[in-house]
Amino acid sequence: MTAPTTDLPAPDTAYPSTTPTRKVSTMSRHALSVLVENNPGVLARVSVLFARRSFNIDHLVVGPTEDPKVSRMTILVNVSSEQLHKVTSQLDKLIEVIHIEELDDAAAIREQLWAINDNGPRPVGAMAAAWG
Amino acid sequence: MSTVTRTAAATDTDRPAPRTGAESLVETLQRVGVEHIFGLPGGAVLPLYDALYGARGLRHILVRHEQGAGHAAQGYAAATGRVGVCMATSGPGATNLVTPLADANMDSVPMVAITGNVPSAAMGSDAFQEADIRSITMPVTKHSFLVTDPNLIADTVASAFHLAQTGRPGPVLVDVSKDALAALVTQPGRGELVLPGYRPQTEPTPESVRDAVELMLRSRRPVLYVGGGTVRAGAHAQVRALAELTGIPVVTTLMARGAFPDSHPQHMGMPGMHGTVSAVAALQKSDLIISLGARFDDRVTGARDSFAPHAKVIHADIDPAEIGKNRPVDVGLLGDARVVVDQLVTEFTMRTAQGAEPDYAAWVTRCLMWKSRYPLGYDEPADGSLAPQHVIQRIGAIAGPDAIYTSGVGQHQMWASQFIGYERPHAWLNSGGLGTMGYAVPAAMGAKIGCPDSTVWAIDGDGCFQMTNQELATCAVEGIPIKVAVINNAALGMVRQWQTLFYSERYSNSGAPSAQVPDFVMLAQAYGCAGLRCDSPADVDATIEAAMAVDDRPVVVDFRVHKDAMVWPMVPAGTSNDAIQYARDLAPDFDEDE
Ligand SMILES: Cc1ncc(C[n+]2csc(CCOP(=O)(O)OP(=O)(O)O)c2C)c(N)n1
Ligand SMILES: [Mg+2]
Repeated sequence: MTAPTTDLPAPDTAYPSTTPTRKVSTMSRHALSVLVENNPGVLARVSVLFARRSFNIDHLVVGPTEDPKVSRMTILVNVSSEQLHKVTSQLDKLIEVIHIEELDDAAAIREQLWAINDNGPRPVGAMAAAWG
Repeated sequence: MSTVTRTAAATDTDRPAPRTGAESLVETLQRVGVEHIFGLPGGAVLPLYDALYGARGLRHILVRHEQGAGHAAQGYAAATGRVGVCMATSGPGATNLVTPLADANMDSVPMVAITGNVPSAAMGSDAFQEADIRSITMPVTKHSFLVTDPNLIADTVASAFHLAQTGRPGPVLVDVSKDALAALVTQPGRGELVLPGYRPQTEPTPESVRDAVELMLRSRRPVLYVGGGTVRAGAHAQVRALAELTGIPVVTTLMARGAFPDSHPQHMGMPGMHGTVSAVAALQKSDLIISLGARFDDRVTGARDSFAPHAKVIHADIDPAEIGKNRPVDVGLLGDARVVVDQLVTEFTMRTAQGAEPDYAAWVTRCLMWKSRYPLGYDEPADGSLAPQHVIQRIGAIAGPDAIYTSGVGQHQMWASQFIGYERPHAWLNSGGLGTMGYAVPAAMGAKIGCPDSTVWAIDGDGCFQMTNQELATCAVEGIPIKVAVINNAALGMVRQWQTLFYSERYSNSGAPSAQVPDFVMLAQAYGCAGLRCDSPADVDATIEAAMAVDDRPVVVDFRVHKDAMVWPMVPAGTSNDAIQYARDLAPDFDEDE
């Protein structure tokens, strides 16, 4: 197997808390790093999953890894941890998702992604027309 | 149509290499043990149908509509436990499979759908009969593949079968472009794809089993909440062993009817919206729900915030995403139901041998009291017309527990789940999760192909029957003698029931203007089936016996039943299970003896 070794926690330890809690959890920013098979259609699958739960994706970056068969998605969402757990366990069910990790410093990652993204307004349609 | 011309027709004689993508697909089907395919050809899939022509050991059943092929594959799979296979052409052929795929996804039915698509060079150009079925089916399948390289067809199809039947079973679609089907395989693969992200876990951790049994021993009011996963896993013997070892009361969900015998004294019935009072009360009042392959569906829990408010939860499932999805859990048991329940049996036996003394006696007495006080029942119509429940009960009694029963969706489905009496798994097939009208006839066809020696009854509604009855033609010409009971109340009865109860009897578009159009008996005969009619209670048994005696062709019985019959008990949608009504305006009081 050429894919990176995976080190997901044993699923048993990943369950929600052992005592039923029904408190309303608060929204916060989370950054996910998701390794996926580099197949066409993977991005659609992942985004459909988020859309189905009405999660708005703040930022999404997809790029290559050292392994040409594997891509990395970095996803920033603003949700409660409980909702996040539900969406990641659904995400993990996707056959093409190899590994999911929550990154520690969501705020810093957001800053960096924002810097990459914010390269000024571009009238895309007009530009396309100009380039013929 | 086809751009390939080959001089030698594909036969079942030894094929010399090289072979086409289509031939490699057929070989793969043979290799993984497929015997039956339900499908209908068209332009894009013709190379595949050419390779199927005369293929050894494969019977293709030509359906009348691809939705029928899909539900037939589901019925085949649900009755036999093997992967069902359906096939269709591009565009409309493929989109006609979407409903059965979504249905199979909801009910965890192992199934593989193979579709042809337009040549890869034409994809994305809105070519004739082009539909992006891989994308369309993404949210309603376990996985969907698009193959445009002939070298990858065999491995992809083999992987589709692996995915469909391992872990949580489900439908897998393989869409293959026409050029890939027609081209020669130049580089055969390794037999299966590498799927680095797919690692189903089948064994629970020892700690989780210990924790679960600890909770069971400490509980005073436990319930075994048995779901469809136990049927898919073939875990009925283990479930029975656990139930009898512990003495804990059992409820079986709509998808699990038959996983535990209805006649068993510990069986409290079906929980949920139209469940028995004893099953609903047992869950509501329990202090520990032991969920085995069930998913706390909203039709079972009612309003979730008042569902079983004092219960801790042990949740066993093969799918980690189910555990804790709808209800927080105290112990999650991840794994195959057979393995999980076996281990619970072993651990529980060990703990009691070491002196643990669980005490469920008072609770069992209370459950049995509910069961005897609130049995399932129905009123005979005052005007002497046929009670639908009576018809269904008599079919169950006469055809017996060895027969297979399928149903549509509606009142007749609920009555069939309540009044037939199930003693074994794989005998009750219905569309539980998606609730697809039209499931019954094609599913019965598939079940009969898979289990030719069993009597197969489709208990259908007059509304549902009109959605897929074209497959009776398939049954007639292919020699698939199913039996269909149309529970004809001249109404979309379940819709009507809701309008009676919640919309002030404003019957908007729920009644058929006539019970005679179409004439189901003549329709049956036109399809080459026997057609019978029954409208009086006195003739019910004789009519069922007459239908049982027809063996050389399908038979349809038009049972003209009372149109105002309602399904009871009922928990109105969105309300608490505590609000269950035993019959109209009759609420049981299961608190009285607390
Ligand atoms: C494809 C589809 N369309 C609509 C519905 C909504 N629906 C649920 S039950 C029902 C009535 C079914 O009528 P019938 O088959 O006559 O069964 P009955 O309830 O009368 O026994 C309808 C329309 C559905 N479940 N499936
Ligand atoms: Mg009806």
